[in-house]
Amino acid sequence: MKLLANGCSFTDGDNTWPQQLVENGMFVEVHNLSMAGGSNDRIVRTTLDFCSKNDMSNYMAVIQWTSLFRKEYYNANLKEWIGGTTVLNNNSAEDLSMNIIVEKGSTTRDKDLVHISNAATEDMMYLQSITDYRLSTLKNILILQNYFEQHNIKYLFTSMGPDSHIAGNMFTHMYSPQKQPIIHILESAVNKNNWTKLSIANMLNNNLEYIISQDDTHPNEKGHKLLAQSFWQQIGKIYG
Amino acid sequence: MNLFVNGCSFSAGHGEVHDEQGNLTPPLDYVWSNQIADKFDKVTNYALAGGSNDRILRTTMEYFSKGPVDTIAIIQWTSPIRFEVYNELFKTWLGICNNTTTSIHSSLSRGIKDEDLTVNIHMDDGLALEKFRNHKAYSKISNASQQQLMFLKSLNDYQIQFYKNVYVLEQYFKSNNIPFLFTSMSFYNHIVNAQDYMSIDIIETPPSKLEIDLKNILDKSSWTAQPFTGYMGANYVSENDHHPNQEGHRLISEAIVSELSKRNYI
Repeated sequence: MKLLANGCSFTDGDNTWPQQLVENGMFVEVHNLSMAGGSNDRIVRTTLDFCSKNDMSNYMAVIQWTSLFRKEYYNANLKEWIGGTTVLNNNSAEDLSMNIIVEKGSTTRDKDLVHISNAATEDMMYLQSITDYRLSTLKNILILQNYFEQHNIKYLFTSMGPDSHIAGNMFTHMYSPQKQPIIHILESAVNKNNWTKLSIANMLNNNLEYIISQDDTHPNEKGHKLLAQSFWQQIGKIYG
Repeated sequence: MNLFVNGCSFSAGHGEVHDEQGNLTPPLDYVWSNQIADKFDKVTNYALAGGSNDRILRTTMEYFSKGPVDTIAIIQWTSPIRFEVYNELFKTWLGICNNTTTSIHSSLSRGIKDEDLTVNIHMDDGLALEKFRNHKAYSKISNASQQQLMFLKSLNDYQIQFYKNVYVLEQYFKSNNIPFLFTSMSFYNHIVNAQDYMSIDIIETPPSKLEIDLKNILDKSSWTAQPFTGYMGANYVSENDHHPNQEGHRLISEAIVSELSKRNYI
C-alpha cells in the first residue's frame, strides 16, 4: 500500500510523519503533497489533481487539515495559484493582515501581489466572519470525504489543531460565536469514524519532548515519530 | 409529493424583493413553479432575486434538515459571481450581488472602471437593510466586496466555489435519499451541454485543472438538458431585462415537467 499525504507545515518536509510511516514499513512509498503555509483549498486542489492522474486502488490518503483562515486564489492571467495566510502583526488582534504565499517558480509581479494582499486583508477584516471560514472548511472536508468514499479510496483525516478538528469539539479553541444551523448540518454530514481522535496539537500537547520549542510548536523528530505511530494505530482501527 | 424550489430571480420572479413592511415577497403567480403547482400537494419556493449559490445551498440544507417528507427538490443554480457572508455584528447573512455583467467577458472588462464594479448587498429583513445602509460598516463591507471582485478572485475562483457548492449539495441529497433535479439560470453555469447562448454566456477564461477535476466528479444525470435561458428562448421581459416573461416561465415549466416525467418523479 502507498501513502498519499497532504497538509501544511505539520506534514511538509523530508523526515516528517509520512516518511516515518514508510521507514517503519507501514507503507511502501509516500507521495507528500504538503506545503508549509498551504491552505485547505490547496489541499483539496492538489489531492484531487493527484487522484485524477494516478491509479488510487493501492493508495491510502492521510489528510492533515490546516488553519481555517488560509485561502487560495487563482491568477488566471499567469495560470498560477496564490495562497493567503493570516499574519498577526505586532502580536495584536487589531493588526491582522493576509500574507501572500506563491508556489515555487511564480512569476506574479510584486505590484500585483500588493493589490492581492490588500484585497485579501480587506476580505478578512470586513467581509468574512468565523462562520464563513468554518463553512468553507466544512465544504472542503466534505468534498474530499465524499470523493474518497465514492472512489473507494481508503483515508484518514486529521488536523493541525483543535480549531479545524471535526471529530472532537471543533472550533471551541478560539472565539466561538453561536453556531449557525448550516454549520451544525454540515458537521453532522462529516464521517467522524475516519478522523483521528485528537488533532496534532492535542497529540503533541505542547510537550517540549515532542515540539521544536515553546515558540515553535511544530513537531520535532520525536514528535513526528509519535504522530506516525498514532496514525498507524488509528488506521488499524478503521481498516483492520 | 411536495415540491421544494430554490434559485434566483429566474425562479422567484423579477419583481421587488421586499414588500413595504420589509418582508420578502412571495413568488408571483406567473413564476414557473406556480404554473406546475397542480402537480404537487404543496410547493415551497425559497428562490430570491439576486440570491447566490451559497444562499441556495444554505437555505436548502436548512429546509431539508427539518425532515420534510415526500419532497422533491428542484435547484436552479445561479451566477457564480454572487456570494454570501455571515455578519457577526448584525447577526445576519449578507448576500453580495455584483452589478456588472461585463466582468464575465474579459475582452469587455478592459473597459471597466472601478465605479462600474459596484455591488448590491441584500438582507432578508428589508427594514434592517435600510438601517444597515447608513451604518459605517456598510461602506467597509461594500468596499471589501469590490476589492474582492477586482483584485482577489478570478472568474475561475468563483466557478470553483460554484462546483464545490454543487458537489456538496448533490452528495447531501444522495446520502439522505432526497430526490432532486439540478438546473441553472444560463449556459454560463450549466454543467451539461454547455454552449454559447448569449454573448454574456461566453466564458473567455480557460478553466483551471481544479475546475476540470471538480466538474468531472459531478453527477450530470441529475441535471436538466438545458438551462432556463435555453428553454425560454427570446421570451424575456424587455431588451433591458432578460428575465423570463410569463410565456418564458410557461416554457420553463413545460421543460421542468418533462424532465421530472423522464425520471418518473411525477
